[in-house]
Amino acid sequence: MEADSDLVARAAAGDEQAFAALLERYRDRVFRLAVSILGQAFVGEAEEVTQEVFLRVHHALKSFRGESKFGTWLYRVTFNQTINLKARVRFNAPHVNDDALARQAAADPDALTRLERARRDAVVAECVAELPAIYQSALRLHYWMGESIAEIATLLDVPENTVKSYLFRARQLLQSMLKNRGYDNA
Amino acid sequence: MPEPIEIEALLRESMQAAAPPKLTPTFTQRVTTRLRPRQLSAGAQRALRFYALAAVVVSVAVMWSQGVEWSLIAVSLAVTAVIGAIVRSRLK
Repeated sequence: MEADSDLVARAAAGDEQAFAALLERYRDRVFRLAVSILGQAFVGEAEEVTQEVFLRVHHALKSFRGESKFGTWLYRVTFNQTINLKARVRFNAPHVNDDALARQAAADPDALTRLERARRDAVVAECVAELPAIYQSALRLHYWMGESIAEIATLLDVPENTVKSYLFRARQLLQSMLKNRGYDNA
Repeated sequence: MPEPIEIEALLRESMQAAAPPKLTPTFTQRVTTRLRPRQLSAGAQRALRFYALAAVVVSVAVMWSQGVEWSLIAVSLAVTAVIGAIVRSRLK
């Protein structure tokens, strides 16, 4: 497999195939990082961010001096671009429509369990959305997308121990938030 | 302080209720299309060159008819040409 630095040098010189190889190599990770910051309800917006990141990086390739790894630079651009978008546009977690859930419950014998679960999941999503952005990202990458601590550390450009402490602190905060909302068994 | 195991299980169950997100199949194609420089057709390029030439001729004729000196006309054309070259190189 060709090294990133070689592909970057070729892409900066105008080789479209080299840039396509970089796009293929990094697109999913960039997308997952963007979704982890924006949340489950904003997958479409995360894809838009991913596209903008690659367009921006393509234009900036000539100015990339290789002081950091290409991946590190790319993830930093993604993180900043996504945080900027989140700050500009208010991303609200969609509220659960209780009437719709109740109608579904009446039509389905197992619906009560599902209704309870849906309510609980909605409360969890609301609580997660209130956490600091970096905690949200770490939580979604780990629990939703199943990323390892090492992979999250790479994406967020922090040491593995810092990721562990993000997750630990996020769980603590979530637990107290859920208790405040009446979910004592959490 | 030991962490409760329940919150860990709750997070896994709750978050994994939704499938992990995936990019749409056309993503790569959309990005590469947007990266490709937009080329004008041969006809459009000819029309643009004709328009530029006509604009220069008309400008020179108007300035000359108004009594502007040839040196000033030359300077104004040179400045326009330089600005055009700079814009073109930036767009590349």
